[in-house]
Amino acid sequence: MSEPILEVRHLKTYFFRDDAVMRASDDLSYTVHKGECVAIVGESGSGKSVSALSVLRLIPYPPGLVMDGEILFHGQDLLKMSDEEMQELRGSKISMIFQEPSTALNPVMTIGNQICESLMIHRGLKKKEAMKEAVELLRKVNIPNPEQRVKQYPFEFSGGMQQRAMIAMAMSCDPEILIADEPTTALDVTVQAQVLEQLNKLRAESDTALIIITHNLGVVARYADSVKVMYGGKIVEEGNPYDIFENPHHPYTIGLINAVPRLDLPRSHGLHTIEGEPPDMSLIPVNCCAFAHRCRYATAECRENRPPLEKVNEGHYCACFHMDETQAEREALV
Amino acid sequence: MIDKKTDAYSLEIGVSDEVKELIDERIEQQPKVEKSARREILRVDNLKMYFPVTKGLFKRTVGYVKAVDDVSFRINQGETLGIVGESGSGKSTIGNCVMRNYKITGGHMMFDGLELESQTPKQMRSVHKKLTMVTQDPYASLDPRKTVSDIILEGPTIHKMYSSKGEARDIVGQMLELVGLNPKFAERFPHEFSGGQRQRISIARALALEPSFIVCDEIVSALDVSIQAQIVSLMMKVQQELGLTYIFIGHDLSVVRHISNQVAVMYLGKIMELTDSDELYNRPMHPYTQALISAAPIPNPTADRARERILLDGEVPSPINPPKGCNFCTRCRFADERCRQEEPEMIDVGNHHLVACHRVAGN
Repeated sequence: MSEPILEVRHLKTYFFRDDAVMRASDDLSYTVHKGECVAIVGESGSGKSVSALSVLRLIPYPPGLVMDGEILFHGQDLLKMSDEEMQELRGSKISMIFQEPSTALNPVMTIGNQICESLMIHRGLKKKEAMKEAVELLRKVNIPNPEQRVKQYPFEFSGGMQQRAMIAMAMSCDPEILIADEPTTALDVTVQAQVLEQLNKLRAESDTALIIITHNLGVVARYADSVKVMYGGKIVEEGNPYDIFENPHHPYTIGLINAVPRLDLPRSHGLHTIEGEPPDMSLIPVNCCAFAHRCRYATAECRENRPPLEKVNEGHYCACFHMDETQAEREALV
Repeated sequence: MIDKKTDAYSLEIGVSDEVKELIDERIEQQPKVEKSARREILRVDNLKMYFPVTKGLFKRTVGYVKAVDDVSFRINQGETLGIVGESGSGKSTIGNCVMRNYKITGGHMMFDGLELESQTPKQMRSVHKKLTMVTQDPYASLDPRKTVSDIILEGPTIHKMYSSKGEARDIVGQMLELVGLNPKFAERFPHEFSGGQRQRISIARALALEPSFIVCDEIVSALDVSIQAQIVSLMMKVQQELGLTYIFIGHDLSVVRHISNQVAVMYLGKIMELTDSDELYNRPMHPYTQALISAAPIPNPTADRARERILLDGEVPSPINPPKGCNFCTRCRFADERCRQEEPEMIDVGNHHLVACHRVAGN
């Protein structure tokens, strides 16, 4: 594995409400290597987006605040940088693609001008050169007639094209890290496949590290080099996709995999469900396993202590006191 | 608990004897039919739904969006027809046409011996007791100012299905238990519930009418993965117990296929392929179905990375101006001159497997 470029250590991002504290990201650590595709999976409210927004320091205060931890980018702590330094980094070294392209794009600016903006700010190009570059970028993400398209406004683009324009914009300054927050959730299935393929191709060409945040396990299985499964603000299991999907140890990971109907298996292969609902984050006690109230293996220990991430195999970690007991279920997976 | 399979789906709370009685009673009411001789409950022939596109001050009609164009299918009692398609394919419009939410442009719909399109609004009221719908957004579909009990009782009140307050309370309690919610929730308001629980309330509302047919329009699309599985399992359990028939509309092929006996793949207002759900994966014939299956990722890296990848170019064309010939010809990797000129007919390739493609017809 190549050198690590981003190291998140013991990140704690909390949100404060009048009466409660939500630990959206609670003692989170992960490393991203050069050119690697890291997937953060979880359901809504698991803290997966917060874990990535914290890296860009985009958590609004109030109510959110990064309480503790380090985010090392090439060894430099992003949390200690000034706002100006951070501004310089955003969009050039680390950039981001958001879920809903129609709300992330500025409706009263042409697509071309929006792409030019970051080129002019970060790469110091003149308007004319920047526009030329913008056309090339649109061509690279497979937008037909880029010369005409740069002069158009976002509403003239379809959802898939808007997202591709967003990708062009994010890739414009050759970032080292690209964070994609649910990049294809709002798109149709066939367009989703196009956009993901595009994203993956660009990543491979420019050796950019991609952090992809998603709830779609299929996307993760297809593209990720490394997977982090989040629940209740914590990473409950991490490893490569083969570890996670074919040899999962955490009861939540197993439950999640079993809850997705498999297209390649006959229908008689039943659907298993995890009972209950994801927890309200403000109600999870500090020292307990967040999954305990939905877990069939849970014991008093799980409700009183927080399980640490323990090594299963090289690169495969799981936070569960009862991971050895899940063997039968693990073997039942196909 | 994760080990429970669909057939043994357990509720969040245990099923009381009352609910068991209700279920037995309902099963008795269902006409007894042999599995081999299932009765056709819904038959749709050449359904067309065109929406006019208007322009200018006087709303001059300048064209039509052919949301559903010449669609035919039939459903047997106790079975599920899944309809998959991308946005704009007309899948929800079919559901709304069957519910008679629109005045259809053409075609025939027979529901349980009744010709749906000729029913007056007044007659439709009694039809809607047997034919109900659950919609996508559990946040928009529940009145925020009504309690759960009011929401569930709305239908039974219209159809005078109870005569005393006690009976009304029983209906609410039974319905909530049936969908896996605590009957104590009856006096709460929708905002107190999560998305999955709200969807359960919507389902309880539909079931309170004792329907025989439910149109499920993207009912799990807005939900989290683990909740999605719960709702799909709930629907399958209720279907088995009450002998219901569903149209299950969705964009996620894996979910739709899981719950359905047969699946219709739609593209730009037309059914491209219609077949048994296992056959659809094992022997997809239409190039669009093949692409759709390939685009749906499988949550297993070994299985997924070994598959052939078919990527479609471009996006769905505008339904106002669909391409000449086959609707799919602009994105099809096999399209030739004939596809761009002639519209393919739906042909049966055997085994009730219907495909609309020149290439399949030619071979």
